[in-house]
Amino acid sequence: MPSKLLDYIKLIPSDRFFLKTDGKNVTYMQLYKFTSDFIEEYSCLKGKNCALISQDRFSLALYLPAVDYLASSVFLQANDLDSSVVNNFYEKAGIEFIVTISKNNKIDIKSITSLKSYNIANGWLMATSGTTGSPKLVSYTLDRLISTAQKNIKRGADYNWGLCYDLNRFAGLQVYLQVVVAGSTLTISENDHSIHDMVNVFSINEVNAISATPSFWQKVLMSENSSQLQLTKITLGGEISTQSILDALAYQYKGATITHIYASTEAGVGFAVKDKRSGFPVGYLTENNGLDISIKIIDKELWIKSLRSNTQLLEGNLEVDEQGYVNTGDLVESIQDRVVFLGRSSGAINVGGNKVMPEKIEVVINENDIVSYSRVFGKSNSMIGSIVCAEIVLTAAGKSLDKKEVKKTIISQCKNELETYEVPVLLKFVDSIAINSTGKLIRF
Amino acid sequence: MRTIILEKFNEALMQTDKEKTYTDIKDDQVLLETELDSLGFAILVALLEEELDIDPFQIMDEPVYPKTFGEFVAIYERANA
Repeated sequence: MPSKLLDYIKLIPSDRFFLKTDGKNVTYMQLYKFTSDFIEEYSCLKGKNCALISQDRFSLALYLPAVDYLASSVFLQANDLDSSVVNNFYEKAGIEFIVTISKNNKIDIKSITSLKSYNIANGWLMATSGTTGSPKLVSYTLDRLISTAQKNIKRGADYNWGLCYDLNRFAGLQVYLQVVVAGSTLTISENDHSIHDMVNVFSINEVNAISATPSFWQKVLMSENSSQLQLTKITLGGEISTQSILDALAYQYKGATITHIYASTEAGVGFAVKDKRSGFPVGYLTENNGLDISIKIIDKELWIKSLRSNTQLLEGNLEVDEQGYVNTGDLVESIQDRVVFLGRSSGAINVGGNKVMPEKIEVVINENDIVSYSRVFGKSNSMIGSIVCAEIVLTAAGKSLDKKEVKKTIISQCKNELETYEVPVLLKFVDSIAINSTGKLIRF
Repeated sequence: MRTIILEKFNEALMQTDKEKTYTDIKDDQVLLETELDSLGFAILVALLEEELDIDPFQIMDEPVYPKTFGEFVAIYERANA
């Protein structure tokens, strides 16, 4: 199997369009020529570990195959990383060259001293988005990144994908790689575009395929010009897709294939659901589910086993049973012919892709003198998946105060100490909260 | 209905740390051009569900997301009728 992007690019009919954006188009022939010229001119990067930085998505999309071809490993460096984090990553990855592309396509190559002994696996390196704690450096091989991509070059001609995310983020890179391996077209909206401008660029360039999170789709659907888009392929991932967003997409983009992806970072695998209904069919729990994974439910928790080779990256402390199933930590329930998601067994709440831990919020609420104790939980929301809610038991002194004022005090305290998405939206004052036999709060 | 929505709209703005408050919002005001972001809309829908006991986005006959403030109000008026 080819291990460089250029090997895939060579296979694609050269007159096809690779990139489109405001008034600028690049064919695969132009890309191949551009990449070949770069490889010749910057042969000093051959076999080196490189960090690649770009001010805009278009340049990064253009230069990536060339740097990938030359370099032993490529660190796709996001622009918003702290310099201390960056330096730490450089050291961990044994980075030797920093390749910076400015907006007018000026290339700057800087050599840095590296500690080769720290060198980690070859391939593609990225920073996790770090919604909890500091970002971590993760590495992938190209094979792994494109393992689930559609690689049929004939069918690839039918798709023009709209890029909604930065290429140095997982969501953006996946779309980019899907485009390259199938010889499709990528239409780029830059990250300073508003949703309205992005939809405009996409509709002018006849984008027909978009992959985004449910929260992002919600914004697209609320955009006045969203009906201009002629979509045939819609993908949702990164958060649980509600029936509401699936219905709205099916209504607006009649005839489009709508796929929502379930992915478990714990199990390192996922699966796609295409019937426009939230959750997944109970048939997936049977042996002959037609997927390359096997799924089962134990005590409301979803367990998954990959039927492919066990080369997947497994990180952290995993719960694996005797048959090789991995506990995803997702709570599910079978309702008639459907398995629906209830949340995380850890109680973690997914607020528009951000992971929220209830205990952290409970600590902040409980700091208040008038609060006896509290329970924080997620409530499903048709707009964003879940929102944060809290049940609070007040002290005798607290109970005598005006509830509106108490609510204000608690919320303003949470706002001071927590991220906006962690602040409880709904507060309910109750007389008691259920506690289990070990003295812990019952989370579900 | 409009008054309740306006009140909760401002509450959602405040909860998402936006300084702006509206004394009135015109029907043709484009929602994405207000200062309310995705989280803000989710909060607005949750606050309205608490107040009115309905979430029209879960039970829409015609699943079209509102583009303007007028459309947003109309969805709630229809659901509450």
